[in-house]
Amino acid sequence: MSADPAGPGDQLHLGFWMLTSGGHVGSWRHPATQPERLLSIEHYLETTRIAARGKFDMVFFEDTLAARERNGGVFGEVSINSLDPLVQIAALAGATRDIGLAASFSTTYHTPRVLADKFATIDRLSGGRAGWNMVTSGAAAGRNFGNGEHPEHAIRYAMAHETVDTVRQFWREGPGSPQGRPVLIQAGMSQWGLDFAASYGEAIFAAFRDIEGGRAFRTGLRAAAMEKGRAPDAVKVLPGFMPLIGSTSAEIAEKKAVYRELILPNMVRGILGERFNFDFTDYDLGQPFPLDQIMDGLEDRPMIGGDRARFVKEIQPGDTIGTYAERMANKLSGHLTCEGGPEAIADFMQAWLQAGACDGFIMQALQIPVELELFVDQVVPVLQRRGLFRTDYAGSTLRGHLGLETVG
Amino acid sequence: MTTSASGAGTSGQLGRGPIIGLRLNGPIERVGEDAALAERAGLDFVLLGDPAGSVEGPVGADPLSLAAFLMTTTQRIGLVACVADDWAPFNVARALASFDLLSGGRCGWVALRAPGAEPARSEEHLDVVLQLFDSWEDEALVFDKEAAVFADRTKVHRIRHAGAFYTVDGPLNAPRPPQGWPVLVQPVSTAGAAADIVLADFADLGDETRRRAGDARLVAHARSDLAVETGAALGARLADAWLAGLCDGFLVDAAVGPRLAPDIIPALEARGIVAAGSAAGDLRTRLGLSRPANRFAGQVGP
Repeated sequence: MSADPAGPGDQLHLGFWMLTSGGHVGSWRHPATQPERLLSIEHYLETTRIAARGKFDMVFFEDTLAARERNGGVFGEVSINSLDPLVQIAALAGATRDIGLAASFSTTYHTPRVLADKFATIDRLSGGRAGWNMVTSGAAAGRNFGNGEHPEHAIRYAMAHETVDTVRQFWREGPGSPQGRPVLIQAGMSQWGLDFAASYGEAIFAAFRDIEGGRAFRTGLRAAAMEKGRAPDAVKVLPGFMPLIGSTSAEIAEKKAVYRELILPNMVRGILGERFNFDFTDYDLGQPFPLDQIMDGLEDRPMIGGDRARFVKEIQPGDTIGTYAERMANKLSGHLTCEGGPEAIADFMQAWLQAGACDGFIMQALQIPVELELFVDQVVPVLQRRGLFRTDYAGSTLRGHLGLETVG
Repeated sequence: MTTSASGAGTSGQLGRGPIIGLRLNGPIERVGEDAALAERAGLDFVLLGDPAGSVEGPVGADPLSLAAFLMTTTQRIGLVACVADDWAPFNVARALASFDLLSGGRCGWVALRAPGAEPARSEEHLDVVLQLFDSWEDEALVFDKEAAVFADRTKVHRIRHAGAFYTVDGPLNAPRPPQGWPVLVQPVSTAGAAADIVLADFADLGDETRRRAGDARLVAHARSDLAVETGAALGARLADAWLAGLCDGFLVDAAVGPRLAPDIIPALEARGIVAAGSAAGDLRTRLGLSRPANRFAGQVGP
């Protein structure tokens, strides 16, 4: 605990990012994955219990409000289902203990009343374990809600401010849970996002390139929270993180090869099609990018996961379709990654914590449950031995786990 | 609803006795326990929320979240939640499809008209929800690891709905629910042709109510003010109504006394009525309802 904006925390906080079959796009094809189970509550229940065995602060669900698409139809080559995260965490509340249950839900496409009601209900049912990741939703959602026009960024954040104020008002009038009210989580790093985070955010899901970037963000956010009359420790910074656990360099190389091979050429063309809104089916991967044709249709139909211009910028001089695609397929995650044995992974996490660059991580696993179990069985004990992570839950609320005060 | 009044229940055609549900209207802390009691008693479903709701309830008792919670605390019983149509149709369809998928086909819902909503808007809302349930054909998920085809994209369709009140492109980002459509319950005052079950007040049973329920199963809601003191007495009241063909089943408020639930079915059986559907299969199967066909089946292109 520290009143210094740059001061590091004592212990890590860990959320587990609950993606269907894992954080790797090819994970649904992994030999250990049974794709038909990805639609049953048992899969999510078993995964949550593994995370609870590892004493994670919470499991964390993302949310999308449109089907993934490529070239005028759904993106059939990847695991595309996105089930309602609140139905999932409500169901998990009935059969788990202690571990926090956090879900993303849109401030743009749900009313304050709906948001207040659902999260308050789940918070009560779970005995104070609910968290709400406030998201304003991507542009792809617009086509399923009304006139197809997704509000622009500044308007979405103005709406979000108003919505969150109203939700909090509803919560103050309601009966509350053992943690008072659900934990407010936020993803979003722009200036609007930072102001919003300093006002409301209690856990910030962040994306950083390096430790210096993390430290600058966390210090700035904690100072901004203090300016708003909040304690700096009332907001926790949790970057996304995907470890690749392997005890020898041979083991690491082999694991990388396994995951690279899960991405077949039709998936590569599909991902390119989604990114550039362009049909690569008949293109030889040795050709240069048909950039002029791509630019014509680039923004025709917004995609999940954002901004196509960003992907165009990643095309390097001399790239063929194939060299770009290979770079893309070898990248394990858009978030922080670390390769090594349990000690090396723990070193990485410790360095970030003790530099004041984060308060913990939202962790992805390459495959669920194999890589989560590996982390829980091999890395968590190292962190515990070093005094960097709890050996058991001290309380039963998400606020308690995150070191946030109960809100009366 | 155009079917003429038959006077006699459709129950004879069902090959089963009355449908029986328990409405969990006690405090939130009791919901898990009361649902377990209803399941042990062999009832067909529990219902969350107020199907006669004309005003918003208190914050912190969302029927759909309560029903989802019961998905893991119970094993078989049907889970029916009231869902008002002031939540966008895409959200409603996605939540219910998710519920039905995750629970293996245990989901039902009461489509409620939000206070003050125009009838035409409500009807369009329901139409969009049902279209979204159909946006994935039943065979769309193929899970072909070898060929890297998770879903057959030719079997997933945009609905391209542009109506007076809603514009929704689709498809849903969840596949078709196992029941095709989760069991649709509507209050008799707003019931339409798609209803599987029509709910009417016990006091309003009669030819007119039967006529308005049309082809749907008519379930009589026995509210907490029904003056009975024992489960056997309650069972006798219900048995009389069912034998007279006035309805196809009952929804009993838990506030009548969840403690009465274990006695309802024995009381019916004492009168020779075979109560409770098969515990195997999804909620539709249990209630003797057919599975809706998919309007997009066989359509070429998205």
